[in-house]
Amino acid sequence: MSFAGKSAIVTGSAKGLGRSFAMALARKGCTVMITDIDEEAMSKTVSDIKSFGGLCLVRRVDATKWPDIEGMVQEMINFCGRIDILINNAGGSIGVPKVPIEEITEADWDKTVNLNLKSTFLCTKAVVPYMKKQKSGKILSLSSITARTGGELTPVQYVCSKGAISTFTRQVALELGSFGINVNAIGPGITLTERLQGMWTQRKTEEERNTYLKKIPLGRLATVEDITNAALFLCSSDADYITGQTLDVNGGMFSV
Amino acid sequence: MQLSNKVGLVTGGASGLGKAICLVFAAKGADIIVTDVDLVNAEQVAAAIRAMGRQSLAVKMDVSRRQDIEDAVAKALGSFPRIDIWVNNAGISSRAMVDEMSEEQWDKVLAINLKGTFLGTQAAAKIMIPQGSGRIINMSSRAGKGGSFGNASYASSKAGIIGLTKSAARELGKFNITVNALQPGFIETPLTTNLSNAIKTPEQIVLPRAGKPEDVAYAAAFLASDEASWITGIGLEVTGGTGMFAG
Repeated sequence: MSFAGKSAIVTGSAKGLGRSFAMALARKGCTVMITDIDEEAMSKTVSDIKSFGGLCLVRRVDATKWPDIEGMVQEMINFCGRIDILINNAGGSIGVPKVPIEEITEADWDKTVNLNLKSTFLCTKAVVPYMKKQKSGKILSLSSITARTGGELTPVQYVCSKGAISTFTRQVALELGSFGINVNAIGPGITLTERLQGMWTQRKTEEERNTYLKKIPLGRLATVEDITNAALFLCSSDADYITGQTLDVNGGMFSV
Repeated sequence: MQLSNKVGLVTGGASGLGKAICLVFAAKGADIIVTDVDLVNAEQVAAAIRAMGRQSLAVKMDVSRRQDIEDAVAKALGSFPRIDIWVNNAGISSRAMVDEMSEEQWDKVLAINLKGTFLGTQAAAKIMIPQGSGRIINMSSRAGKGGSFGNASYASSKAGIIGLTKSAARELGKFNITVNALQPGFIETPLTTNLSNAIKTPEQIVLPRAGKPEDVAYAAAFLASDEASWITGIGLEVTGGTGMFAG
């Protein structure tokens, strides 16, 4: 799979999965824009990409703020005139407590839904006019295994945002199919990024971890590469006839 | 390459989706055992693969007969050191409305499509368990999820393949064997050539073209690769978006 001559924007790409997506695309010849709110971590990712000769831009972007997103897209268009791939990776539930539903505050609901679902909508909205002109494009969003299995450690508003992302994916795929634009999502199981490594080892006892692992036919959690490989497949021309789908990457724990 | 150093066996590899899978896998670096009841066309596919510089063997095999499969496996393992990928693609269709379908039609479709996939999965598992790794890919269909007007036996067999795939995935995961299904939508192959336009045209068009066999083959190649080692028990729709709101 080559991405030479292609350009991609990856939101939330300073660290973790987003960084991995961006680096993998860059290794395969894609021009990648690194965007995030963590500028220090972004600059490390940029220098890592440049160290193997990858081509990348970097911009501080809050993926919940429309002016930031407009600026992000404009910069990419000014640089290379096209956007072939958008990965809506910005998201998560860190910093938002999991509490019984009657105790969820409006602020915590809005924060999570904005970061996961609204950002997906806003970034998609921004790139679509250019992808329509190109008559091609790949939009990939991040759902989650929690939307299938329920979330043990994640709050309701996170789980339902991730489910909504799958429905958004399907509906927008329907709308954009005639323009040659593929819209898909991936649903990762628990992946040992730096951020989640902490959650996994600290918030679960050894016995709880083993009980969880027994539910996974492949007997292990995901590596960042497992998720990255699936994302790259869906963003490649090999997946030109796949659209509207949420690809479950979860070691066999669940699928529809 | 995506499938370098892999050996794959494909059932129904002489034509249609199976042929495309054989050729795409070979183009991506794999050696291929092409099995089919049609040995003549299987030989042609094997020859095309050899012309690419890969190794290939054509073997006559009826997936509904266990003995055929055992004999084919013995021949394959005589020429190749292992089988890394097994694609249960062989399938037929025998259209009839549900109140008119004969038992013979039903039995034949189920024997080849579902039982053939079971027998193939079993044969593959027996080889792959001692290997400590493997990929089994089963050809289901959108019809297996959403049903198919005038083709209940086909749809039933393809739905059955999903249950088989998920069960086998649960059992074989501990041996590092993944088992996944593909669910194509309408793809232009010899099986679909003679269908009426009323059947060929989906109710809802998303991507404005019919599927090519290669579209399905690329998805199969991804699932067969090392890159998909944490994906198991899924049904991957390769439909251009058709049917995604159809249940």
